[in-house]
Amino acid sequence: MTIQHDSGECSLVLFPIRKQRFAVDSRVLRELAPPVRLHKFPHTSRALVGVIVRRGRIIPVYDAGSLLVGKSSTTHRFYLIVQCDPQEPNDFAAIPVDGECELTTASVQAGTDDRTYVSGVATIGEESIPVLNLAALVAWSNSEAEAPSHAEMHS
Amino acid sequence: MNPASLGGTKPGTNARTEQVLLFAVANQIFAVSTHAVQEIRSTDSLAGTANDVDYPQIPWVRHTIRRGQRTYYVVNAASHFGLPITRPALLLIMRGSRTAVLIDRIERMAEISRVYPLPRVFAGDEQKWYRGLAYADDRVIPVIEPAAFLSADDICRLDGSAQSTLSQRELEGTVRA
Repeated sequence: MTIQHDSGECSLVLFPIRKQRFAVDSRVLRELAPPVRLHKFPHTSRALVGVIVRRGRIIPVYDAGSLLVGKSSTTHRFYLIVQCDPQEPNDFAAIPVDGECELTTASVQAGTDDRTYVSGVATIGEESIPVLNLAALVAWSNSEAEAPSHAEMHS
Repeated sequence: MNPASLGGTKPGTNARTEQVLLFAVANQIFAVSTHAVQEIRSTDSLAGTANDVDYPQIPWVRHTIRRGQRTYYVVNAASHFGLPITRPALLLIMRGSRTAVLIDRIERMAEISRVYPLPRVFAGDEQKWYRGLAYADDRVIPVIEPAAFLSADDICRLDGSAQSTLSQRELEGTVRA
């Protein structure tokens, strides 16, 4: 899901995770929050690291580093707070990002990436940036978490 | 999750507050309704009164204690939640069940005005463990579902195991005699 302008370009938010950049449709962005306190408690959902409290809501925080690049982010500077599912107006999630985010417009093509949560590739200059479908990412991470080999505790 | 604001939840400001006990296990704070707790005992006071249980399918239960006419299964909360094992100092004897829970310490009593639903993306065992989340002392604290420590089915299985162990001991005693 991306905003497609008349020019064929989409409005995207670009964000870095461990030196790689990813993009999401700017319509899903709700806030770029400072690194507020992360509240942890025991759970078995592998893709989640805890919750933050932001503007009166308890928002789950995804371990986006592990999900997207295979390593947890250690130096996150902001939380990208997004609405995961356009059909669920209160379905928020926070993604820790490692540096400055950027709002841009770019053309998005269907890429060859076979990850179900990558909906296309944005080309900016000479850089090809995966565009994420967050609803698919959440569904994928939940299905991964249900796999017995990943059953572990996080707190 | 319900988007209701966390604002205005200061203890005592809402007539519908709930009194909870905040307790620690392996430096993690949990809340449990005070109505769910019948008694709090020091583990020292139970020395010599506990019996061993060996039921590997429920590894967080290793002992029973006898209180009056009832046998309680002792749940090690650290093991139950997958936390580092500590040396628990207190035992919460739960009301209306045959469960007692080993914890490290009581933090304090608190009043919470609301239990927020666990965000639905928490899809693992935590859905059973917690009634939801509370916001107290600028912290998000999981509110325990007391019945999740041991289900009725777990207690049946532990009873069955205890009965078969007892029968085996009686048989061994008969053979020795």
